[in-house]
Amino acid sequence: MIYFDAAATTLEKPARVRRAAAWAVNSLSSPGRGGHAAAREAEETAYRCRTEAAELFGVERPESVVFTGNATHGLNIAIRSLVKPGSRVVISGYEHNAVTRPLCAIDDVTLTVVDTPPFRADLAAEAFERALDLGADTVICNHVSNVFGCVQPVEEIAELCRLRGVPLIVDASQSAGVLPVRMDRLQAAFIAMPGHKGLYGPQGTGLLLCGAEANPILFGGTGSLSRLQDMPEELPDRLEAGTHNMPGIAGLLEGIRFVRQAGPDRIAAHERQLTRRLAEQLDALPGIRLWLAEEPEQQAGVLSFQAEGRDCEEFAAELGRRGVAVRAGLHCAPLAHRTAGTLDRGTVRVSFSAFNTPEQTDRFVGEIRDILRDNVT
Amino acid sequence: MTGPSFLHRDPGKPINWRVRGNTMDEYLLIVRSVTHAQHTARVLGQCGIRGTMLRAPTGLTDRGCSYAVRVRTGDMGAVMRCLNGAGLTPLEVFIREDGGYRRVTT
Repeated sequence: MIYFDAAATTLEKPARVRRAAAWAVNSLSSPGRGGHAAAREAEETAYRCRTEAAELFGVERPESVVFTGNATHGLNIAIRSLVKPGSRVVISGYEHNAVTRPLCAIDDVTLTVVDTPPFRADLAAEAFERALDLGADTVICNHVSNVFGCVQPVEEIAELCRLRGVPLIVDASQSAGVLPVRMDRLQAAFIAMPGHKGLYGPQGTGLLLCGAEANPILFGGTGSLSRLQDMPEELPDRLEAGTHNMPGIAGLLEGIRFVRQAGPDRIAAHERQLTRRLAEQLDALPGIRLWLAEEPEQQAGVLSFQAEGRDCEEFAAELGRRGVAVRAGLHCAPLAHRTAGTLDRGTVRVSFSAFNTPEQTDRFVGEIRDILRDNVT
Repeated sequence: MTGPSFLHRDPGKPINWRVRGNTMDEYLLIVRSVTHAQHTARVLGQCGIRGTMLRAPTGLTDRGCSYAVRVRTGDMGAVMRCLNGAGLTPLEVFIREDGGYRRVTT
């Protein structure tokens, strides 16, 4: 199989991620829940994971790195901590349902959507500034669109927020492990990310980097301050009720180590190279419409396209029958499709990881050519 | 904070630690969580001070399950300076005496 769906989950993991997760199933119990060897080993693994994540993402204290089940979980905590009924919130036009649904679940939120065209970071920064000047209580922005791969100017947006004292939530779902994501530079209130995409950890893992006071959305045992009937005030326990996903965390630790050793810059360059290679070949085919940035640095390893007269889901299903995994439809991001004008039809999305190869993109183009020629869908 | 206030305690007032020459005392630093215990032990290690993490004896704290870091030192002031330099403050400090522990912060 050719797997081009890394924006959902990186399927191919470093071998040490698989080994660590398997080891943890039989070797690690619960951190903070005992003084015995299996608990201590779990504590050490969790702490190493926090520490290495803190180093990778410029977080001053490992306590501020909170384990979550996925990016959606982290975003819900962040949004529930900052957004109250009546809040004014500014978001980009490329947000995922992981942002828009939690916002819609809070009463009387006034949403301002910065709906600039894809790959126009300059226009996005100006539009965020205008929106902030009209008044905002919170800003939420993804770093990279999960549909089009367009890179948002998060550092400029963070600076605009800092100057106005407006807290910023960054959704780093598509950028963590690939682009620079630094809490010390962004000084965001929260940065949420999955563990199972660009960090190559198992599914069921995520990180929330906390730069502001956070409120729990889950209450229960933490292994600490047990007589207290409120959740502890201190991180990470405040946000980590219940037993940890130790196989996931052990795998995530090894995934983070893989990323740090390979280098996010090198991974990003590889994925961009594949994106450009694929785009050049697809662009030569009749009836293919691509969403491609003029400047390569404005796009991560995500490429959306449509085939004229073809249904995106049927097109992706045919690719699946030919052993190619892509994702089609709205990608849980109807807002992004609305902003780009593709809400009615959706797109077929190709997304890369460090393990994809140029040969795979060439074969993929061959399959597309065959589908178009044979008029299969 | 909305929980039962009787479970909380002032985390402690500054103490002028005295250097006790070559005498090594055993202290228990009660900390907020297992992660804080790990961070505390790591920071102490960077200062050349060995700290051992353990679950706090039940009778030492009224907060329920807690973690502690044990240090043996003749200069507790150096320990506290090291931790304060990293922004870490134990909830409470106990000294080992006569087979038990005596609180040295209130």
